[in-house]
Amino acid sequence: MASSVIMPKAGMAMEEGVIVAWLKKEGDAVVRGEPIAEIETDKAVMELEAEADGVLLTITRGVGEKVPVTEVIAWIGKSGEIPPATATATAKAATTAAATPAARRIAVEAGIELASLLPPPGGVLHADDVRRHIRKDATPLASRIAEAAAMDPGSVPRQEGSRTHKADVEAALSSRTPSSGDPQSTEDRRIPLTAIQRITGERLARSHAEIPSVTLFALADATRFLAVRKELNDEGSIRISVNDLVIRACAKALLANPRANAVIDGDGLILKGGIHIGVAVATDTGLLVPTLRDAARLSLPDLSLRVKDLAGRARARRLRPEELEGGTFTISNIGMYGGATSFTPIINQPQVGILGIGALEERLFLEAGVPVVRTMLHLSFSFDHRALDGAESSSFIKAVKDLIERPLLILS
Amino acid sequence: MGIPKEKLEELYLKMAQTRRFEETAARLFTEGKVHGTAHFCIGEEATGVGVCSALAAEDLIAQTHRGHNQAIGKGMKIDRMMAEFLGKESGYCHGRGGCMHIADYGSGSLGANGIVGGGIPIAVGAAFALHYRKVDAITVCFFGDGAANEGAFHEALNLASVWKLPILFVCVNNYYAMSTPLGEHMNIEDISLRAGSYGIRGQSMDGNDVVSVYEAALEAKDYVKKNGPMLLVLNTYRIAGHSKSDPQNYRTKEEVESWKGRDPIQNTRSRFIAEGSFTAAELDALDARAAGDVARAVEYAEASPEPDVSEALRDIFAETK
Amino acid sequence: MREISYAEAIREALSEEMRRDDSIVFLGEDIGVYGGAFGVSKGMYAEFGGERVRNTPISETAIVGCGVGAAMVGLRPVVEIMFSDFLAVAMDQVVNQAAKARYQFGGQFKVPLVIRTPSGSGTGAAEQHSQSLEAWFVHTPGMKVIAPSTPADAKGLLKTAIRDDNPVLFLEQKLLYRVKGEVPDGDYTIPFGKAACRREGRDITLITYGRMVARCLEAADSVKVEGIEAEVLDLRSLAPMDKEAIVSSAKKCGRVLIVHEACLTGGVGAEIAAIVADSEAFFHLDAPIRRCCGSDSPVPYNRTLEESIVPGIPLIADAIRSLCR
Repeated sequence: MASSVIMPKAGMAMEEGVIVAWLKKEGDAVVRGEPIAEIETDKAVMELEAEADGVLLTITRGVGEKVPVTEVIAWIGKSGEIPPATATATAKAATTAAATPAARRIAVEAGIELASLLPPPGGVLHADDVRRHIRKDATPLASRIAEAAAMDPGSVPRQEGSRTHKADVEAALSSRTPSSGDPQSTEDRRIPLTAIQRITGERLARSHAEIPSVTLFALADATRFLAVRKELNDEGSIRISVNDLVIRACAKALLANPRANAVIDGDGLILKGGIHIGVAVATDTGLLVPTLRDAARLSLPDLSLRVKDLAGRARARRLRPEELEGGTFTISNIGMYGGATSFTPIINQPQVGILGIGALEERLFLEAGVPVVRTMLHLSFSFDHRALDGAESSSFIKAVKDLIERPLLILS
Repeated sequence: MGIPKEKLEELYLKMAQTRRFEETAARLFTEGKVHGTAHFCIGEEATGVGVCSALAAEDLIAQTHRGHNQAIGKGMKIDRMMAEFLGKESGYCHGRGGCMHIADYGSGSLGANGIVGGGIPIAVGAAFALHYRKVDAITVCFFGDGAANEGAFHEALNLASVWKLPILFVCVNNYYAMSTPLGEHMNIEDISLRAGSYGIRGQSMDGNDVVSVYEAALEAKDYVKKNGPMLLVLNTYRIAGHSKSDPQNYRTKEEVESWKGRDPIQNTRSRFIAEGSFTAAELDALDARAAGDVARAVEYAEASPEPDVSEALRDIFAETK
Repeated sequence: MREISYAEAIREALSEEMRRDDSIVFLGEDIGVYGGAFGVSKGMYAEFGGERVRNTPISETAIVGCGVGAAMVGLRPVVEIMFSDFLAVAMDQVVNQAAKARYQFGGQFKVPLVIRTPSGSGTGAAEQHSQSLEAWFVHTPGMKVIAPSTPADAKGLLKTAIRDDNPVLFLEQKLLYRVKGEVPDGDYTIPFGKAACRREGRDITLITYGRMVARCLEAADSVKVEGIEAEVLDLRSLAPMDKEAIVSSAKKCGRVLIVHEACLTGGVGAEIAAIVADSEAFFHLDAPIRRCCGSDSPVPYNRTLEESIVPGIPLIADAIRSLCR
């Protein structure tokens, strides 16, 4: 009997996924464990593996299609076997609607069957009708970039059989000749939130509502910290960032303040054994927080490399689902954007604390009556007041501050 | 007479070549080697040969579609004419024109025109250019009795007369406009009367006496250079049909036979022998020479290559500068 | 830059060329002291004299034929045919002689002849003095056909026509003779076979020439408020035609409206439509290729009727809208 291939539920919150590519075609032999498709979840692109040996009998959902989780997308069985009838999606139109040459071309280029498009009221499919269909099928990222550049994502040439991706939009933008300047539209424009934005948004709202959160602010003298960093970079081959050093400092501070490295559990607090720091990475689709595991045990160079790797893969949406889980503490950096000096980060439930890195700022001090300039680093620490009190929280942020002001201790 | 013997020889030889050329062409046509049709001037040889032999190299002629005598008279090469007739690349028009559109600017020929009367205004234009550039030469425009009824004829004569251009209009009157006899297409008998309408000199004469035609042409050339346009009507007869496809059902055999008795070449032969200018043997030798020239021309033409199809669109336009 | 009229620009071009090259002669009816039926040759007889500016009898066949013969033997005649309708009288000389002489005689001759003639309706001259016959000659291999729409173009294109070694039919638009425009001083030429984009657009392209160019520009302006940005492509050279510009404009805009005053059936617009249809632009068409052209009718005398058989600005605008939906 044929076995079904379903859209996997690859994350707790995942409700639907998109088929990015079929790696096998109908009639191909497949082996259990072999990747047969690429699926995009709301966080990452992952490979879908065959769960059985056999022949890929039919593919029932195509590239670019959004499929609810657990729904069938293909059948594997013995060669010649007929898979059970599946409830197909919309029946194909009995006749192909009349379509303009431009509409046909756009459909062909996008790998869309014209017959699958509902004929419009006028009876003739125009280019815009097809583009509208494709627009709904562009990745949210691609749509955002296109719309920000006042470009219709439906008009962007894309890989055949694929959705419109950011790369397609960027390619179209770079080859676009500047137009004679359209007047700015004064109408409202509705832009839907991405999946990541929606899910993250819900969490943030819950966190904000449920946690009695307090934020402490501190200024750390980072003058020597920056000098040490510069020396490290002059000598070393790996580029150590401010962030890298702060993460290490934070990990050491957590070792000394275990209550900050905990998760709320009903009426208890679980002090976590390992220190796994979530590093907030801003991607174009939204905020992702990959976890840097065992942050306290990593050497500085290792730490730096791993953070770079995680951040890069986060932006490329190539994180594995488990890399987005298991964090015990989170660090977020607002200072790197310029603009803000400091902020009140929102706690990443079920964690109890989050360290915010703000701006570097030069300040004038008097030392023995002599004016000196020192570079200060703004820090903020938001914590769940149910888990930590004032003293405990102050202890933690002081530990971070101390380490920054005595940077050689970060390196040990 | 005062005409040098070389000139008389030239006159006879050219007529003999023309006759041989036409007869040979007719045979090739019957053998299926010629595309399209052909218009033979058998019987009219003295007209073109006589007039053109009176012209200098820098004088220009506009030919009719029945003008092989005019071409040979003006010095065009028989082999390149034959090659054009067979549609070969080595023909004067590289096979693009055929015998109806034969031309050789190098010999002063502005080409044969396939439109009856079409060449007459063009000849006037050429004469205008000669006048404008003050060149000591004339344009001779050949056309038939039929063409004298075309509007183009009248407009051209009028324009040439009012601008006093150096052009000799030569009407080769063979009494038929294709199948229509003169009496049915014209209300006058003497075409040279039309010259009077334009205030120019008109003259009518026997077109089958090559020597008289030659002398008249010399005189006309002088006249035209001094006085402007003139109309010379040469009365002759077309022994063969209008074209190869002509069944000749519009004229009697008797009429044709009677004109055959006035064959220009026969006439000239008799006259030359009678006057003692040539012996029969000399004239036979000229006949043989003509035959040989035409035979060689046929060989040349048959051996010449066809035009390259890829060049079919060549020379629609001139490359400017 | 100074502004002169279309007629003055033509006179300027012709005069400058005649001063430059004495092989250029000018023949036509009433072009001498009278100055030409539309005043184009005003003053030229006085400057160049009767040898070079030749008043002719009313003999279109002889006029054109004389031009052909003179061109074949080395002069560069410019011939004026008083109304383009009269080309029909001289058709043999234009089509069978001028256009054929080079090709049929195997390249022995070139025919550097320019036939200038006023074309088009709108002056109440009615059926036999108002036609637009360019299609006949675009369909004649060996002829070049030019239709300038502005004074500047008229000057530059006429110079090119005179310098071209081939027969050129230079179609002047009667109703444009008085229109003024900026015209550069001195010598300049405009190449044949190059269209001019008069208005850049995006949603639809209006491919046009002659008197309709101005109307297309007005129509384009009138639909701008509706958010339609129309491109206007002035062909100005009908043979040779700028196929590249036609295809790229059609491809860019995806909608094509062809506008000419000559009647619709068998008009040059049909050729343009075929060019677009059989090109890469076809795959970018989002609407049928449409023609907004003169009615298939002789030109009537009554002014209102006369206007009604030629596309007006509202009609062109409506056609634009119907294609852009």
